[in-house]
Amino acid sequence: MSEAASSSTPPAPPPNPPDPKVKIYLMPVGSAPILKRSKFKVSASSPWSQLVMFVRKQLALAPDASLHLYLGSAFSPNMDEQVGGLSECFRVGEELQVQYSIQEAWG
Amino acid sequence: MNDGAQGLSWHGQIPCEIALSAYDVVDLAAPAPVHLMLPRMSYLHAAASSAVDALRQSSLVASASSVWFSVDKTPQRFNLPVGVLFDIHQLKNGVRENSETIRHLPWRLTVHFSSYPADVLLGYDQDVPRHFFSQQLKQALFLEHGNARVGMGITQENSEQMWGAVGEGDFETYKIVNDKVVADYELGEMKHEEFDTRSEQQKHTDEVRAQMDAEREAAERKEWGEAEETEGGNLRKREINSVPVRVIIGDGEQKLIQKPVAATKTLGEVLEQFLGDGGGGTDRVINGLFGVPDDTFITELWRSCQSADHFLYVVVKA
Repeated sequence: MSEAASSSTPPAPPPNPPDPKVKIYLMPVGSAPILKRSKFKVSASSPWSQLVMFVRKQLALAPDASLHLYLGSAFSPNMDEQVGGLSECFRVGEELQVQYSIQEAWG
Repeated sequence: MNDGAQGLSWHGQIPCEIALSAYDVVDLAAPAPVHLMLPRMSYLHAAASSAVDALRQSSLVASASSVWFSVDKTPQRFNLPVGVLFDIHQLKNGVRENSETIRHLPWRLTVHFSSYPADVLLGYDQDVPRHFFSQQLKQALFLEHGNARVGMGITQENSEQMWGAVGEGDFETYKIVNDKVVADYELGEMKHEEFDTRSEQQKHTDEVRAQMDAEREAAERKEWGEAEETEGGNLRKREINSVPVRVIIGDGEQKLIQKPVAATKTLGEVLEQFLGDGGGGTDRVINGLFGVPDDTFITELWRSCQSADHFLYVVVKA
């Protein structure tokens, strides 16, 4: 068999790896209610906005109620930043520690 | 910081033409577009506010909460510097070297006062761009220093001064405030050290050693020049925990990737880290520069081309 013929049947490409998960540890700040469960896993490709929506749902907040999520007790990421990238940059140990507050905690 | 190169970056401006969206025109004739120079390091809403105010006169819907810009019908993200948005536009239009940039000038933007594309852009109101800038700056400072202390030291006054300077492309004012923020942090670190357990004799010995090291390094710099300052990508003034770098894939949804970047890496290594094998050969533009070699140290680029929020933005072709 010629080399050209043998190369015409390339091996099937490997399937896409599953989207890895990021461990999230939610920590209340100030008067924020305490969640019954504070540790969750979120897809690394999720935008930060998805985590915000998730926490809103967990806290059963009214649509117009404010909610602030912080990393490092310091700053709020942009809503379009990926959770996976933020985790690589700011995780503590194996988890991404996220502070949540009803009032603005760190301007 | 490499003030000279960074200062030059700040003086970069883009000739723009801003027109009012046809959907917002209420006069019989559309108003003439406004021509202005937008500083690369600024943000659309801060730098183009005079043009927005002028065009607002001809719009029926003039709510401040729905101002947005588009280029070729693509909404522009207000949390990215003007220069980065223009670089995305250039790559998207097939520009591959600096000599081709001229064909895309003036940069034609459209301002809209209605139909805010909330599914594409972050929620907006008048104070939001400054807030995002402040948060991005804190995030970058966290990466640089490995802790939140510098960012937390930024006062409301500092933040407003920096935002004002960013809007006007005023590097001198920005640098004064920026340097003050870092200096205050370093002073705080020194005060913190006063509580250390070293004996007075040991402290004195350490201070003398530090002074001798500083003098020796200054002598070496004088002898070997600027290139010696960053040999091996290591910073002379202070260690960097992680270089704040963001890679934006310039097509489609303009995905933004952020990862921790070691100070010793080259641009090629960083692109491999962000984009996988072959990432180093990707078409890229950094602060308006095409063809930056792969073996350029990332810290060199960061010092020269970082944005006002301290991030280095690398725009790549998908």
